[in-house]
Amino acid sequence: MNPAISVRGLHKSYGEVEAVRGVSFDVAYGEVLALLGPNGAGKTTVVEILEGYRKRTSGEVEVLGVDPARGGVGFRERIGIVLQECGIDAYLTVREVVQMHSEYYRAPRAVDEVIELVGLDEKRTSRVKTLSGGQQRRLDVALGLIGDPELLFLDEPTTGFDPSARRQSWDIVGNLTKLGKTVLLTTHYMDEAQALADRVIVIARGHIVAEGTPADIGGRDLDKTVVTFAKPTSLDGVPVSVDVAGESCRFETEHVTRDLHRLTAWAIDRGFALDALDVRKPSLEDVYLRLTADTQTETEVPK
Amino acid sequence: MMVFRQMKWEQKQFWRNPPAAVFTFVFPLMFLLIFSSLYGNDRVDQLGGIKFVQQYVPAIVAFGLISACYTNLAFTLSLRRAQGILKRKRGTPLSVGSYMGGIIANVVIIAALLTVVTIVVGIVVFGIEFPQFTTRVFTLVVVLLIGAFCFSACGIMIANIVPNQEAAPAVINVILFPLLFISGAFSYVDDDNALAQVAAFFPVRHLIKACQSVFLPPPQVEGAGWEPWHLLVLTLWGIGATAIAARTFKWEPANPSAGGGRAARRRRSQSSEA
Repeated sequence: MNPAISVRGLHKSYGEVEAVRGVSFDVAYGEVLALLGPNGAGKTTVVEILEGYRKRTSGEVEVLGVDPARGGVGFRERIGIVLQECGIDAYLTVREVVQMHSEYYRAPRAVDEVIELVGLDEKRTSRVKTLSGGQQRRLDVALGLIGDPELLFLDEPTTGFDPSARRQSWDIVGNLTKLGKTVLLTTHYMDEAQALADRVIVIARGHIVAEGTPADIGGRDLDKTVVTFAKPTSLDGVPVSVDVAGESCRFETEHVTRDLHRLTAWAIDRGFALDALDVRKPSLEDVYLRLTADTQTETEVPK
Repeated sequence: MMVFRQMKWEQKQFWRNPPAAVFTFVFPLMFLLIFSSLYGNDRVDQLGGIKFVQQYVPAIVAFGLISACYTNLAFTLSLRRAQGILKRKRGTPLSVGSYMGGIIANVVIIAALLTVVTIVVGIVVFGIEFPQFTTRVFTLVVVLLIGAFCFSACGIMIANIVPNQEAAPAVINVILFPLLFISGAFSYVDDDNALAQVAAFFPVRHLIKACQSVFLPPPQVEGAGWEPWHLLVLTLWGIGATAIAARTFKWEPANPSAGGGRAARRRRSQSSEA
């Protein structure tokens, strides 16, 4: 089967500025792909080309078998778009707005079901302008879903959310993927990519700098695990080679199970508690910061 | 069908936004009451000594239509563009024709209501007459339809040049109000007047004259009150404005930092909660 999204050698220039400089990737049907990158990296430009909002300068793009630049009404029946910053008709109620948008589609989902899915049941009869920012964002998601799209674009869906609102939004996206929807997500939160995406692409300065699953991107799976613990009263006979810095001990290992077993066996033997024991892989955040390290000062790309 | 549905939603939104509804609806009526109370019984010598109010009610009918079509559309569209609402609609299967059709149908309904209210107030409160009602009511409907076409197109065209939400009232009214003044929407302006000759280049005066013609009794105006010249100018302005509006139309905010842009997201994020 052809992929849901296929991008080959995509370029986009705004006058002198090259926002996207040769990006290629695929998204399979049913996959959740996260595009990650700092502000101005070209994420939104790529997504808006795929949505049909922008014309590309060069390259091949196919979304659901259609060129989005010439997609038209039939194409927009099949996609759902949750834009980064977009107003909603303020004087209608939540239910009315969702109802109105459902009338735009030939085979929409049930209005109340979608409102429930995004957790706005209690706000059904509230005017849009009385909603909080987080609630409006969830209404955004509802409007993206109401047409029962095969493919959903989520452009920074949780920017500005507090942690609990973000968790709720993640649950919503999680539910979508259970329905077999294809999702293209942009974010600059690592934990969001980790929680939601099957695959992650990191974009910086208009290029793809890394691609992989959240677990192995940027060689993360090959990185050594770092173990730290508070310095016990004695390090006599410790079975691993430990660096001591002040009151903290640290070692890196490729064989974490074996070395931890040796360390803890030694500690039990001596009656040491191994306070503040911490075992950790470099986080996706560490990897991301490493991958985009020299691009963080890049200026914003014009829209 | 889609046009009708969209119109229904537009109606709902219009009446739920009291400041906008007041601005569109009450403004012309307020001018009618103020100026007719002040000068209603004065005689206009240039029009064979008819009462001021007899020619003023049709001028307000024209103002009402302009308020409903031009002002309302220019505000609605520039606001929706700045807030990203147009961009959102663009991402749905709703066709441009259905969306704009619904919005225009909505302002035409408002214009029709406003016309009826203005004329009824004119007859009941100020005792004007509607000469040869049975023949001229048809003339009036045609004049208002052509006027609605012309001023809706102008409204969409001007909405395209509004740079951001904050500038909308200034841009929209700075263009309209001087024209209303020199075209005779607030006082009688004779054709010989230099200002009237400037006004003749713009559509406002032509709509006012075409409406007044319907209400001027014989012998000032005989027959059905048709004014082909004024209607032709309105039609040409409508065609020109439609062409420019279509070429300059944008779905997205011109400047993302204004209104619907990053600033809005920052505001939104500050108020975010579950």
